[in-house]
Amino acid sequence: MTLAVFFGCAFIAFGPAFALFVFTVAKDPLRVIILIAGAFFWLLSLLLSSLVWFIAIKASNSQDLTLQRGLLIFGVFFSVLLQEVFRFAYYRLLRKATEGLAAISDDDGSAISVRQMAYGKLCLCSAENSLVLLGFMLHSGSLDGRFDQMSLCVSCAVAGLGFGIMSGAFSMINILSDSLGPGTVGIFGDSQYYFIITALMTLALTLLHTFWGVLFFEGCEKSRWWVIAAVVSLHLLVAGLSLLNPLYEGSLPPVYGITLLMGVWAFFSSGGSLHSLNALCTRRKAEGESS
Amino acid sequence: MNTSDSEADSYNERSALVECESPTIPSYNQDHDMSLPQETDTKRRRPVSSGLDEPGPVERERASTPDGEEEELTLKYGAKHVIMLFIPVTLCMVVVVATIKSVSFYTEKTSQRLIYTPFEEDPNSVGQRLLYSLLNTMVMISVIVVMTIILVVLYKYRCYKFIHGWLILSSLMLLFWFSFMYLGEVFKTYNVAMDYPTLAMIIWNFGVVGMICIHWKGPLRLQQAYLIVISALMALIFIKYLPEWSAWVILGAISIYDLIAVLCPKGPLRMLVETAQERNEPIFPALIYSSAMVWMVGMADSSNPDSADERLRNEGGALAQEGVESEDDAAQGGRRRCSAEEDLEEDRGVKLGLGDFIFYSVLVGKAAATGGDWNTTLACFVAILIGLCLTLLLLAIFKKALPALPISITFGLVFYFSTDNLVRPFMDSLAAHQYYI
Repeated sequence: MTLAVFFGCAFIAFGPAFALFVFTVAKDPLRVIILIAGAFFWLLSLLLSSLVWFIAIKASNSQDLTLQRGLLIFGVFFSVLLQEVFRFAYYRLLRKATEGLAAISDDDGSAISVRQMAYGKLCLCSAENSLVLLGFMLHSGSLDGRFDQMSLCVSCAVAGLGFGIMSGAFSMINILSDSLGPGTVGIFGDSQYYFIITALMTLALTLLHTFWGVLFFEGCEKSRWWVIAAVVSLHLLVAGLSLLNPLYEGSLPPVYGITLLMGVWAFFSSGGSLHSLNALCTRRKAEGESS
Repeated sequence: MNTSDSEADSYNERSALVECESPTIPSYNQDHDMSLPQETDTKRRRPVSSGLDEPGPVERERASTPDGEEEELTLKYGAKHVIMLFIPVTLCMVVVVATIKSVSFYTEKTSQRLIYTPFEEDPNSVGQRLLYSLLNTMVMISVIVVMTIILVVLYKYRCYKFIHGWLILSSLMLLFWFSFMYLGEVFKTYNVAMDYPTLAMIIWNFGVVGMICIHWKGPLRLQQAYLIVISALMALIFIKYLPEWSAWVILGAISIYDLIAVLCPKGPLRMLVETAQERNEPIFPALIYSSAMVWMVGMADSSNPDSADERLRNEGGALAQEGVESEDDAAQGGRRRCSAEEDLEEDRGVKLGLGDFIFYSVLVGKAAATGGDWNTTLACFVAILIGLCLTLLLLAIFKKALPALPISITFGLVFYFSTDNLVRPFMDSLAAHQYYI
């Protein structure tokens, strides 16, 4: 385990989240607050689910390994459900806050298109299409021009990102710090790919939380309960797939497939379309030609 | 090494003094502030309180806009001010955690203790340990209260020179002696060979520039950097020299004290502030972190450079200090820029006492020091930031001086103990099986 592993895994797991943070969240202080509050809500859900798991563990026979394993699996699913409950709670909080904020700025209405264009230009600078997609998604609500809808749409993605970053950090940081120290991975017969798989799963989960944030909030806004049910069941599915885990072929590709699917769904759900994507590309081309 | 009395004293004072808003004078009176530079200094002084203080900080001055617009502007600027505080608090915590994780000196327990925590905790007996930590806490808090009262008495009888000298001595000690110690330990950790003349040169430059920036004038960013470094150094000293359980109980007790002292009408701090207001003069310089860049709107008083300078000087003197020890002083580095435009608003930014920085960093540093778990540290960090955010929100709602410690420290303590005992085994089991939630 070397610095190469440390940096590689760190960048895999946190690179896109960090880029999203820098390009989308860091500019606006309100979004930073929403991000940190999202992280806090995720943390609360984790706390409560750990409490339940801990009580279950203490109340049971600690020698019985299958029971312990079963309780852990129960803990996983309970934690997923609790995370979704807290996501809903956060949605309600943001809704109230946005209604308050919507009273404030109508001068921001004119600023929206400027921001959108500025963002578009910024996207042209960044080479990553996924960022363009996400960024466009974040700003696509502004196509209506209504401030509160845009801010809620952006807030939902930022909230999802907050959930994702915290979830990823809690999964990954201890492992990263261990990877700096001495040791050999898999020396007792476990898989050698532990670190890289962890990093990849963390990345997938971070992106998934962001997409789920967008979808969940859109679903709540438009009262489409099947969307919410789909988000919850997909989260349970992803957690369930991770239970397969030393069998990495069974868990990692399906999770990435789901991530891609969620990405596309969230993009279209938040108002993007092939047309707008095309417009962005032609703007990029025009930009390239003019410069 | 035992820390010097004066340092601890002034520190205690600082932390002890909590600024309370005197009921007769509103905390923000924007129009009032605009018109009277002296008053502004007083007002600015108000929120500061010792580190425990509250962010009286959000000093937004809106000149003569009607209330509705003021509300909008409040909310608009509120987020910006929160971020202006998040960044330095985060930086201070990062410095402390990085030091704790790399330099082992600050986590080695020695038999030396501060004289304010005289009872030695015996790790073998839980009951005795608990009792002794409670006793240590009572000693520390009573020292703080006594120091505060002495400070108020000194101030009432106009012994300014004594107070100024004391504060300067404290910050001298912090900037030279503690940073020398810190540098020495860092060199030992990384096995860097260093000769004394070079070291003397480095410490001399660091210290002198620090004294100038903090007590007199200097670039805003440099002053902010020095304040952050000083808070980090102080927090590291506390982490090293406070016994384990005593540290946690002291954190809890100080936030309760902060709450009581700011919101009750009879605190010594309140008396201090009221006295200062009666005399219409600034309180001695304190260490308050200010993120301000001040633009002067075209006002009859402040548009001329003389009054601007005077404000600068007064403000430097003014911030209420509360026993800051080394940190004291304030010279708030708000740099002012005079502008003739009528439309610019005064945005004085946000102020937070250094004691707040110190205690936040102590909490996060202790979370990092005990056990190798990063999740606990991260959880405490998020909890403290959210507490700060809530405090600023309450400040914007109530518009009076509030203590900055209670909410953040409560969240921090709750999250520390619960993450350490509940979340850690859960996450460890999940990581061992590579289950993801």
